[in-house]
Amino acid sequence: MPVSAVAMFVIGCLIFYGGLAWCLYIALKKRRML
Amino acid sequence: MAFVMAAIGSAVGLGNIWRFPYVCYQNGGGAFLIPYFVALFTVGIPLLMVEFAVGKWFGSAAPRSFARISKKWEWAGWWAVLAAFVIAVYYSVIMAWCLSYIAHSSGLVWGSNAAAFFDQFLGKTTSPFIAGSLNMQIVFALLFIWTAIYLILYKGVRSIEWAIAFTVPVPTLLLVILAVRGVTLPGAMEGLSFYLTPHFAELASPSVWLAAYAQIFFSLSLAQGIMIAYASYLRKDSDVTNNACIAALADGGIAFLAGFAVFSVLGYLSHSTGVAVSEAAGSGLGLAFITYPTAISELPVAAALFGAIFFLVLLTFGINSAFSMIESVRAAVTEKGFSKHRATLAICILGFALSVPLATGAGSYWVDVADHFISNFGLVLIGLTECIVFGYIMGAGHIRRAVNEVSDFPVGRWWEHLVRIVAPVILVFIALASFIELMAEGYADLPAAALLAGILLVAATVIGARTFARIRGS
Repeated sequence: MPVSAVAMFVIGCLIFYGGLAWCLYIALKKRRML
Repeated sequence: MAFVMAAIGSAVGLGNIWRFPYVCYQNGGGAFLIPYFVALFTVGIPLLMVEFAVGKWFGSAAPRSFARISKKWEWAGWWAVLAAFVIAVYYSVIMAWCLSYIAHSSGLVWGSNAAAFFDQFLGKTTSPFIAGSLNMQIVFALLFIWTAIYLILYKGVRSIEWAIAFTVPVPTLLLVILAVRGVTLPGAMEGLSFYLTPHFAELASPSVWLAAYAQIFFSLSLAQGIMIAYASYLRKDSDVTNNACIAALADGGIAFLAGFAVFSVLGYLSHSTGVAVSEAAGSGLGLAFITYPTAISELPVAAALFGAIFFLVLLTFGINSAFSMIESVRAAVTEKGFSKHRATLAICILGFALSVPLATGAGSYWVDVADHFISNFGLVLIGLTECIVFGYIMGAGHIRRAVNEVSDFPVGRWWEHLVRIVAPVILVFIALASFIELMAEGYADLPAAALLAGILLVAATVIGARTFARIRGS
């Protein structure tokens, strides 16, 4: 697989799953569940 | 938490599995993620926030929420609700096909020619105006699906919460299993290269950006009154901004994952049969019922199991979206004074009755027509109306200040510009582009009379909405 495809895979994962994890973390923290 | 899960369940539907991967591949591969993220953050999440905020603010379904802004806009809420009902009707037919295909997977009965089997299974006629015979297998599957929707909804929020606890995590987990199985097959990397290799030059094409905005708009279950109905159950101090981000990112994340499940298997199909991935790749009904079963048949081990898992994923994600659409209708109808039980029963019986004609040999044509016209014209115009009513008449600034008071993180004034200017302009472009394409090329080689019927269907939802808005509630 080309390096550029791997790079897009990493960017996709970072934004989708990293973003989701960050939002969930904020939700848990703000609603005092952490 | 139940609310976010419900919103995710509603947003994630068949389109995440069969539309996103192909749209991504067709519009610049991995480079498509750039316009996709821009569209997500400039239109998808802002409009989702509007629907969450309005539902929570008024504590009502779409029609009453619109009516509280001005009685003369109530019909716009009914328009969204009727569009959701039409979508639920044809969605149930596709789910009935999935249910039948779960059974067919056990013997891989489509054999080496899945396209011919699909036509034979549907009893597909040569024209949308030749009905052919009624497929009783699909009718019984429809009965099962509408009964399931009724059972999920009849006890209200508690039974919905119970259903969501199963219909969101289970298919997601199964999709992970499909993706893992897919990427470990020989040739999978070739398929994934097609999916993810970026072609940045294509970002100069406006059609790629339009495709990204359209994908976001259709994927998030916007303009169907669903998110307004779900948010109406929220407490007044519930968060809006973070919940919208969570729902939108989860929806996109599942679509991104589906790309791995689909393209890895297409790569394997190419590897084992010599057909190029570009030729095998497709979207919609063709991908789900022809290409994917063909690829499944080539699997060395447990082909039947993976076939059944694939259709179970489609069925469960589909039923999630379907009952959220019916919940949007049910919530609106009960606000007119009907009891919850009677309204649920009546809506499900009507939905079943209207879906039965789609179990004939001409059914697949009409599913396609209804989907194309309700999505590209109905939902887009409803979304535009929402932007005008909520952005200008109710006031985006008003909504923003209310949202910021209770949310995990605030949004700035830029959010108002997205709702009032960017989103409406984009929606007008999507409608115009769809209309120009329809006029120039027609749609799916269908006769002009079928296309006219599609336009009449959209018009019927407007007339129906105006009629419902005149009924006095109790």
